[in-house]
Amino acid sequence: MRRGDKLSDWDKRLVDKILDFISDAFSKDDQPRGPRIKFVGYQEFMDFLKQPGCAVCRLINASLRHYISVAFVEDITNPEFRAPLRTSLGYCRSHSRLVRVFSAGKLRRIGVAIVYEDLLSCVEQSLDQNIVRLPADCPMCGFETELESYALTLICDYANDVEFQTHYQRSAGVCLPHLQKLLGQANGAARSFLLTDHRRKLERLMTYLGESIRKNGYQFRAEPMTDEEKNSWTTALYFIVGEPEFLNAARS
Amino acid sequence: MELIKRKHHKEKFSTYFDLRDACAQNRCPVCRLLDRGTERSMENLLYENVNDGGIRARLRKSLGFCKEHALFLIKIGDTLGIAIIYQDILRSILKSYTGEPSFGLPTAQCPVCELRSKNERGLIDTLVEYLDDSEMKSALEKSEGVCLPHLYHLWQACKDSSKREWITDLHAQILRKLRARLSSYVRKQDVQFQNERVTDAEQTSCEEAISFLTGTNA
Repeated sequence: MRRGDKLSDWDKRLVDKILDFISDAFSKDDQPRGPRIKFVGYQEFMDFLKQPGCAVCRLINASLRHYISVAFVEDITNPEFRAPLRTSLGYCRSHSRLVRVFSAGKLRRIGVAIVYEDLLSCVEQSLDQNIVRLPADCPMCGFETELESYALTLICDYANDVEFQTHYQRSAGVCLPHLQKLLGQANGAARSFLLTDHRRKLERLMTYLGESIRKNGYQFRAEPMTDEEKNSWTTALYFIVGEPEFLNAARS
Repeated sequence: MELIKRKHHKEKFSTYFDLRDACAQNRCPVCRLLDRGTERSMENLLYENVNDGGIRARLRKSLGFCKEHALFLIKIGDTLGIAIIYQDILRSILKSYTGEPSFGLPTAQCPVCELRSKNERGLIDTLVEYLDDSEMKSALEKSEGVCLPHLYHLWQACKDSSKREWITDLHAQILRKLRARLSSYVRKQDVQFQNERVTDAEQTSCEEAISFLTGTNA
């Protein structure tokens, strides 16, 4: 999806706000691309790389949480936020789950209640006309695609930078769905670096998984498991599907 | 005459009773039964079929499960079973690790999604078939109704306009009640009504509304 496709004006402004927060450099189209100067966005991304799991998923999830905090507290009376929601009848399954988890705070909960009361009245109106309409075009999905594209571009642009490479090699890198997209986007030395580095990460994960399975055997149960071995099953699962949106809930 | 009577009397089978009983509990009865089926099939996989060659080959094609069902698998939490399945999938990914455009893309649908859509069709067909059954009607009237995605499928599957009308009228009524609870919850957050106690039904109305629109639970 190209930037701005299917996003309302309100969404676009919010995307810009968050991208400014994440990356000054990449919100300006006239900025020359390339790993020349390290911007605020670059440093923010380094922080995501230091955390366990896919850095792109982490960045997206942090931004989605920010989206929900802003939207359901500050913008519930904003027609630019509400109108697309009335058209889409709320969010998709996975983003609805996210709204549900993050509506635990009292302020956000009131916002969610007001918005969903309105959405129910939309459904009620169509039912009164004997019509059933399905929810479609989740606004948060468009927002997520936008963020994903920025994060992947950031990695591609900096993948030749020595400092970035050192941090990336120490990190968990990205999940398989993002790696697949990244390899489709990166060229030359950047692509070759990502390919080699992720092969190494995968081989390491296979070793941890193998050891964790072996130590589950009765004859080896006395051997202590390292943290990497203990967590290898969730690491493998998250590598294949991506980090869950509500990581803390799922990790526990 | 007796034979003709019997012919017209529909035989009720287990899906009918499952649906009728699920109506007595909270949430969309179709979602509830589908979730139960998902849980059973995953438990069955983890406790009995982890080493089944055919199942493992199928899982390699789909790269395990979709995100939603992979997270569901974690909830069941059989560490060893999951580790064995995902070691096998990672091994196959490493074998084809070339970075080609097709790399890392599943070639088959998530097996649980496949099973769910098959079961979903069966449940919707049963509901449509028994929409004129007094017992089923009464169970649905007392229930929280089906979620919007299932209401849509049900509505599409109903060829009879009177059945369609009955189902939309019923859900309009159910929605009105849910919306009233939500409104009441919002009203009681106002400082001038803060002494009024928020009931349990009002407290959960927000989750019920999200659940109705998407069919999600946890």
